[in-house]
Amino acid sequence: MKFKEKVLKFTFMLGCLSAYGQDSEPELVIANPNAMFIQQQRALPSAEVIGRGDDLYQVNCRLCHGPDLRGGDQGGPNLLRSEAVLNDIEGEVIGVAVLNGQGRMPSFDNFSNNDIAAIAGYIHSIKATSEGQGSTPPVDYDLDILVGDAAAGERYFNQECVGCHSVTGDLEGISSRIIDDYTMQNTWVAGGRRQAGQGGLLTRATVTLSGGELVEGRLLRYDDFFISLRTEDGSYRSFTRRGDSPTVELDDPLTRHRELWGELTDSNIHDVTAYLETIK
Amino acid sequence: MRYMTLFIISILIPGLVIAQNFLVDPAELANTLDGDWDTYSGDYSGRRYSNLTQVHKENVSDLTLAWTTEINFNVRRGNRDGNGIVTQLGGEGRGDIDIRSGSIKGSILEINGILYVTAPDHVWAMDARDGSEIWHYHWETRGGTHIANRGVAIWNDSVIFETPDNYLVSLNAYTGAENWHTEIASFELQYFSTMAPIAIRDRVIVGTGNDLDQPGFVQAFDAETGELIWKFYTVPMKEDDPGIETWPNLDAASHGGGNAWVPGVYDPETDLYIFGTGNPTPGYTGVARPGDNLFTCSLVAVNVTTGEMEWYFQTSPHDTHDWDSAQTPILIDGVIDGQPRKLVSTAARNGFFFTVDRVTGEHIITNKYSRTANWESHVRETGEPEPNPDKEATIPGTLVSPVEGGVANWQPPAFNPDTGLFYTQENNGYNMLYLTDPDPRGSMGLGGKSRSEVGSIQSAFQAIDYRTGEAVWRHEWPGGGGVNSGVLTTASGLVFTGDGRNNLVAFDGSNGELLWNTRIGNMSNPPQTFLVDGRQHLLVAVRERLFAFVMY
Repeated sequence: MKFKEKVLKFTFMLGCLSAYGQDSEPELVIANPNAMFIQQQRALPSAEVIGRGDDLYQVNCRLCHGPDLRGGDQGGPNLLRSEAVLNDIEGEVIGVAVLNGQGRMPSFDNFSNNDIAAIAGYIHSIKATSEGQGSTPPVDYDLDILVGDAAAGERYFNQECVGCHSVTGDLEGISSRIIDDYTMQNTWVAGGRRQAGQGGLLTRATVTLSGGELVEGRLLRYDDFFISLRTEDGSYRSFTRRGDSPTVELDDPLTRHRELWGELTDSNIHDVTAYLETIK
Repeated sequence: MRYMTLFIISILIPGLVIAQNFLVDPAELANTLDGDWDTYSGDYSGRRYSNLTQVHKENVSDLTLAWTTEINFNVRRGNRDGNGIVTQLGGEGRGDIDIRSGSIKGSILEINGILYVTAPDHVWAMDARDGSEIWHYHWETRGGTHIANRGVAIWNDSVIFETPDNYLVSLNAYTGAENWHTEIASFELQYFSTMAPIAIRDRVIVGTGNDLDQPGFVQAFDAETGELIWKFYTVPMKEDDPGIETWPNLDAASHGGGNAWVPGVYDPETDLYIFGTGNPTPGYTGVARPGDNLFTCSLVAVNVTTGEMEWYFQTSPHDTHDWDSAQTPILIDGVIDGQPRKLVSTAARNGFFFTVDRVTGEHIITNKYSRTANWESHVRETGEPEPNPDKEATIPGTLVSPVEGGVANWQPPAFNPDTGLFYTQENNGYNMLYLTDPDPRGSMGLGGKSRSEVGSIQSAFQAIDYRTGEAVWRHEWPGGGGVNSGVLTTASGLVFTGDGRNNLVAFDGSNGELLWNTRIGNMSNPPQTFLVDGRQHLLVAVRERLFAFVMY
């Protein structure tokens, strides 16, 4: 595990806020984006003081509270969500616990006020790098999602996918085209990078008018009251809908993928991903 | 007219407001919803069932736009001749944080032709006749998560609301002048507050939100003075607290979340406030909190006088998907096996519908109302869906339904006692969920995972029989994409909601026939109805814009 210390990273942009637990729509415009939380608003002590606090922490605190402040083998609590740390400004709360001890924590009464301020400064410098929604400061892990059995994936592919796809056709060289393993897996499960959702680009529609005229084309927008499409000659057509009139037939090439989501096991997914990674 | 006169007099001479003629006497809140919309759900029941019938199945297509307007966030300091709106300022911030966080995501209260509209840090009083502004209050924030405000409570002549930086603020309903404000949760611990307070007798019930592993709680404050009356934690905070056996240790429990950020409902007969609690924390990494994690993701009934819990029913034991169960439940006076029963029903974010006895908490039914939810292994004999550990976030990824936002969310459902049907959206979709922080201590907050939405799949609108949890009718929304609009129903048998495709629609509540639509954009708050000058209005918000429809 490698704990990567980062300088204050003021990236509370829309994407970061897009899923604040309660909602999923990004919509905040924050003039001062670093001011989200009080721990990110406060000035930190100098790098020299933080460095000294780091040294003191590693010698005295690390064993119980962990190298990353998230709790250690000796049972010390996670400092990044600790009431004392969150309420502290420059050691006045942390210092009480340090000097007097607290619960199972022994007292460290040899520390000077400057030592405590340095330790607090170090802790706050780490806390300030926490990301949104209560996350920890960023940690870099080397994670491998390619745990599947490529041979089993090939069998699955030949059984379920070859009706529409071919590794020598549309998927030729797929792993050279999609380098990132996560992107590869997400993309093939979804059925491509372009989703045939609202305003889908891939779905084809046939509208049968009351006089029997057929209008065919690429679906643009569709709801209970309206349908619009782009016909072969590039023209735009739209129709008001009431109930089943006019009749609409859709050919959504992702239909089979949507069905698959209910059928695929996670092992299937990992196996097929491992197989597709062999298609270079 | 009487109220309007009173209103004008009270502006001119604030001291003259007559005690017996409060804007909203809390005793009136126990009445069912008719002419005015005077608490979050219209009345205490959560039904969002209006007694109004001027708009009905035959004439709903004649609804006319009465007015539309955008809320004005600008702080206005007045002009030379003293005309115009002057923004009243409050707050504990330095005034240097400019968060113009848009959408109207709350219920708008309507009393005597005046609307009380909110966005985070802002309250406006507006004329329900034409949408013009009467007063504006702006709270200068300390910062924090500005995701929403769910509306105000009106108690006597006070407008009471929460701020993102955790103050409860009381304003004079006639002028917008501040009466008092009081801190309700710690800004340092990264709480943020969005809930519409619920006024009950002499107090208001408030809840808060948090993403940093802090404990959830519901509090009662004196509506007159802002003093704390009681505080109920939704997770164990002491070694001998109930539910502690469902956590590995007190540290995990007291950092276990369960925040109550959506208004609940109130049963005057039993004096119970019944509400849903949010997800346990850390949200996606349950490794450091084995057990059911009570009372997170639960329906909880608290005595309003004492703040003591009377019963609970957990709708999602040991959640690991951020599927809060905080949504507003609905009180139903129903019949089960031929016996009249006092019930409460809820359609949870996790895709399951529940009906419970609201006096005792006895479980009645559980039914999956999502067609795609795939995270549970079975339903326990006691009614709780059992999570399948294989559907937690893993390093190589799991395909999980629903998506993070859930099958339903805070957007309120409705119940019509005439049809006996519970109306809710059914938002179906899948995402790939990856564990990105495999630390055996678990992550924090909503961290430690990454998500990729692979797609939506046939979202729908359901009319559910509360006795079985089964849909009596179900309307599939054409096209892709999710839908998460709130719902309104009326005594004329109408159901109003949004279709997730920018339409406000009206259904025949008995059979799901679509009767009316207007394409105004996706609603950001639930539809509401009330009388203005004796005419029935329908009010919705699309982000920063209000639309008022009227039946002439």
